[in-house]
Parts: sequence; structure tokens; C-alpha cells
Amino acid sequence: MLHGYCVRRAGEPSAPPDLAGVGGSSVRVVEAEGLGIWVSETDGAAVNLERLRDHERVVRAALRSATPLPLRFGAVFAEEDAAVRLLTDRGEEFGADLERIANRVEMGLRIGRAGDGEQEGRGDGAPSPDGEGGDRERPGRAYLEARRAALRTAAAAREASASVLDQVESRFADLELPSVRSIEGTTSTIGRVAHLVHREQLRLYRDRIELLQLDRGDLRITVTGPWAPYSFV
Amino acid sequence: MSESGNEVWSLDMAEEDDVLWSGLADADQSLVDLVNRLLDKGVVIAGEVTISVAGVDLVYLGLNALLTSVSTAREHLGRTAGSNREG
Repeated sequence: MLHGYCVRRAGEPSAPPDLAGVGGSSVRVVEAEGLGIWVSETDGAAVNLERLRDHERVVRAALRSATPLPLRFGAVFAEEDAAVRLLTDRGEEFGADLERIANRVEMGLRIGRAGDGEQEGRGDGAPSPDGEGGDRERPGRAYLEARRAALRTAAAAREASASVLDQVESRFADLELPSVRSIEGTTSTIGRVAHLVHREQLRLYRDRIELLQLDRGDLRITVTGPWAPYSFV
Repeated sequence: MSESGNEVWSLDMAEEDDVLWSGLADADQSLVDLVNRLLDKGVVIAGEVTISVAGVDLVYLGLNALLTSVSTAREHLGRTAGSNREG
């Protein structure tokens, strides 16, 4: 069985000979239709953190020389023919995607509130009818009212989180970067934003984040990357 | 940004430079970033290509087990909180 990592164009720099894949296997490139898919032998063992890290290490090795289309973890081929068939069947789609992400990398922003971490949970859980101040004569009604209040609070928090992400994203508007966001609204993380950044824009992008961090002391902004464009394929 | 900001942004990273995160990323959150991408994003290879070994893909089963364990844990926590009012 073969574990699949990513797809690039055939003829681009191949996997370094000493690159170890999932479970320590050696990585090779299977080519067809002008494309190359990075694979290594696998015994199909269940996923664990070490295997996820192995997978990401290989994708990142590919990213160093040319931006690949990263496969979601878990793509397994019975044999090399199956990998060739994938490139044949979806070659046109992969070619167009590679064109779109060429010379670009994904950067991730994690936005939290500065100093957070000591508050209570996200506030969308069920209220306890035994709680202080409840209507002891009519516990059912008290429960529903508390639940309604909790849901309203959660909706307001979500709206506030979206607004913060809007403010963050507006700082990059002129760069016209493709972006994907997710709102989390937990105590540690308001949300995450992924940007698809051209390699030549990376320095500008970094400066922009530094400025944002300086201007918004109320936020805790963490940058991750460069990643292969997982969020844009 | 950290002092090593330039390293973080360089694409010519050393092989052992496994950690790309800038700033004071805590380990748990960085793990979430990694798992979110690898298990929830990226090109999906569906159908006969992936499930061609006796109709069962062990890696895929492993993934399901992992995802279930997280959601089950959350559900369990919620239920534990909820059971207080019933008991």
C-alpha cells in the first residue's frame, strides 16, 4: 500500500533521497499526465500524532522547492497503478489548481484576546436549573429562561468574534489575498484566518502582521506557516 | 514577533526546523492548527482509489476513531454537566 502526500508537476525537484515519510518509509514520486504524486510504502496503521507529523514533514519538504497540492491525510493507494489512475482521472483539475496556487503559500493567523485563559467556558452550555437565583417554584420555566439567556449570550459572542476577524482582515484588504476564516469563540481563541500569500509578498505580509500586533495590544495574534495551501484546495 | 522572525519566514528551512510557529504559540494550539489542516483540509481522494484494499481502508478507520474520540469526549463532558441536574 502507498501513502499519498501531495501532487506537484512532473519534472520539479524530486523528494530528497533521505526524506523519511510516514513510519520511516522512503518517499518517491510517481509520475503521470505531467504530474507527480509523492508517496511512500505504508502498512496502513491507524493514525497517530507521529504519523501526522511525518506526513506534514514530507509535504513541507515539497513546499520548499515548489508549492504542492497537499492531500488530506489518509489517502492510501493499493498499488502504484491506483496512484497513476488518480493523476489520469483528475489531471486537468490538479493542473488548474497547481496553476492557481503556484508560488503561493498558506499562512495562518490565530486570534485570541490578550490575557484570556482564566474565564469560564464558552457559555453555550446548558444552564443548571439548580443554580443560584433560579425560580424554585417553577424550575422548568427558570431553566428555559436561563437557556434562552445563554443562547443569546453565545450569539452575541459569536457576532463579536466575527467583528474582530473583520477588523483583522481589513488590515490586509489591499493585498487582495484569498482568505478562509473560522470563528471559534473559545476563551483561548476567537478565530483563525488563513491567507494564501505569494512568496514575493511574504515580507510585506510579515510587516503587516507586526504592525497589527503593535496596534492591537488587546489581541493575541499568533502566526503559523508557511504551510502548503491546505485551506485553498 | 520573535527575534528569529526571519527564520520563520524563510522557505529555506533546515530539515530539523520542525517548528514554524512564530511568537509564543502554545503546544496545544499549534497541534490544533496541524490536525485541522491534515484531517479536515487538503485534496480529498475519494472512492475506489482509497478504498481498494478488501473494501476497507485501515487508515481511514483510524481517522474515524480519532475524530470520534474527540467528539465523544466533548459529548461526555456535556452529559456529565447535564446529569447533575437530573441527579
